[in-house]
Amino acid sequence: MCEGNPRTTIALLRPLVRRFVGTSRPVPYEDQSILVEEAIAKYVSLLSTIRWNEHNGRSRNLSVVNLIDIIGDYFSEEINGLVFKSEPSLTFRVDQSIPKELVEAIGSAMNQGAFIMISDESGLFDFGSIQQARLRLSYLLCPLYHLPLILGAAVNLSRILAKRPRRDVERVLKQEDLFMRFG
Amino acid sequence: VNTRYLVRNIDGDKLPKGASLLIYCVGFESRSKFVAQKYSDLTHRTLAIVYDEGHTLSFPDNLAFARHRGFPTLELGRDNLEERLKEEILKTERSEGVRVVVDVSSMNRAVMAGVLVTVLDMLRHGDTLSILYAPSKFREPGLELLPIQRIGAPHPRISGEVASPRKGRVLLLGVGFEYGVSLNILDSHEPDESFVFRPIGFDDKFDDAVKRANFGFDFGERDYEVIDYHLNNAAALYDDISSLVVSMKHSTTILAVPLGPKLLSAIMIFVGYVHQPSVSVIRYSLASWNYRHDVTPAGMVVGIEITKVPSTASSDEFAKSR
Repeated sequence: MCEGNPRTTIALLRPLVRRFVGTSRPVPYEDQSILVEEAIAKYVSLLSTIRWNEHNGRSRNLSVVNLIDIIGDYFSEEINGLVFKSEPSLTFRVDQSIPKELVEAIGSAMNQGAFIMISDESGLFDFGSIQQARLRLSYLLCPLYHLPLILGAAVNLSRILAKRPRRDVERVLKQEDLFMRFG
Repeated sequence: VNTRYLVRNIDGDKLPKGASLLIYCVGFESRSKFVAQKYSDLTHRTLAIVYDEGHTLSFPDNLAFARHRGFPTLELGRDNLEERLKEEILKTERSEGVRVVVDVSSMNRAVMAGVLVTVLDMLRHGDTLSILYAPSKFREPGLELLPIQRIGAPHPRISGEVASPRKGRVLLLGVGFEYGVSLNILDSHEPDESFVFRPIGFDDKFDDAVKRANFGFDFGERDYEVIDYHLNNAAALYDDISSLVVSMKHSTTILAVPLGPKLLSAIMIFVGYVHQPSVSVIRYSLASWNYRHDVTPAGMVVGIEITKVPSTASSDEFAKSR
C-alpha cells in the first residue's frame, strides 16, 4: 500500500509502532485496520483541497476526491458487481476526449500520489505526458473501494465518466464521510 | 525605525470609550452587527463596509440595522476601500488624535488586510487602533472538505519579498477546522520548521472539535510545534508571533498562514505590517460559497489595543502621558 513513498510508509507505520512500543505484543488486526483507516482519511482530506473545475462549469465545489470517487466506484463495480468479470478493468487511460481542466486536475492529483502512471502514451515509460497515459489508483486508496492490489485491464476515462450518475447538485464531501466509506 | 507599537489586551466589559471611528463589515452572519450594536453609541462615527456578494442569511437584517442607525456605508466593488477609509479617518480626526476601532469578526482576510494596513499607515505617534473580535457561539462544525480556490497575499504590502533559496523556511500556521488545507500548506511549502497556533476558546466543545477535526494535531513526520493561544489573551499571541519573527527573520524566510479565528488573522496581518517585508502573509480561500452558515455571537468581545509611539518612549512614560 505504501507505493515506496517514504512519507506514506511513515504515516502508516508510525501509529502502529507507537502502539507496539511498550507492549511488545502484536497490534490486534482490528486496531491495525482502524489506524490504516485513519491514515487514509488524512490522505483523502489532503486530496480534497485539490480543485477540479468541470469544463461546463456545472459545479464549482468539486475536488479531485469527487473524480477519484467516480473512478473508484466504477472499478468497485468491476470487481464487486453482480456480473462476474474474468478480467476486470482497474486502470484507466486518459483518452483524447478528456478536457484540459480534467487533465490538469489529474496532474495535480498525481503530484500528491493519488494516481500512478503505469505507462505513457508510447506505452513504454512511466513518465511523460498524461494525455493517452495509462494510470491506476494509488494502492493506499484501494481499501476505500474494496479493490485488490492488481493492475487489471485498461478502460478509457471518458467511458468511466459517461457512466457516472448525473446529479443536479454535487453533494459536498464531509470529514465524517471518510470514515463511513469503510462500512 | 523611529516607531514602535504598544499592544495590550482589551477587556470586553470595558470597551474603550470615545473612539473617533468604528469600522465593521455588514456580512451574512448575525454576529456581524454584534460589536456595532454594543459599541457604536460610544464612538464618534461608525463606518459600515458592505460586501458586494453573499447577500444571504442575516445580511438583509444586518444591512437594515446599519441603515436604521444611519451609519455611512462603504460598498465594496463600488467604492475604493483605501481612499474612502483615509477620508473617513481624516473626517474624524480630533485634537486628541485618532482612535480607530476595527471589528474584524465578519471581515474576510483581504478586506481585513486592506483596512488594517490603511489605518496603520494613517496613525501618528500617540494614536491608537483597537482590533475587536466577537467569538461565535459553538455549533458543531460541518467539516466540509472543500477544495482550495485561491492562494495569495491578502494585501501587497504584506506579501513578503524574494529571498535567497539558501535561507531556511519557517511556517507560522493558524489552525481551524480545515485539516486538509493545513496538510496542503505543509506539503506545498515544505517548511524546515513550523509553528502551529491552536486556538483555545471560551467553550470546551470548541477546543474538542478543533482537536477532532485536526486528527489530534498529527501533521505527520514534520518538524512542528503546537502553540496554544487563548482568544482572551491576544496580546500574548502577538508577543509570541512577534518574538518568533524577530528571532528568525534574519536567517529564514517566514510564511504566515492564518486559518482559524479572524483575530489570529488580524494579528498575523499586523505582524506582517510591522516586520514588512520579512513576513509573507498568505490567505487560502476555499470554494465555500454554496455552504455558508450563519454564525451567532457567543456574547463577549475580545481584542487588542495598539498604540503607535516613538521608539524612545517607554511604556510607563507613555501610559502616564495619556
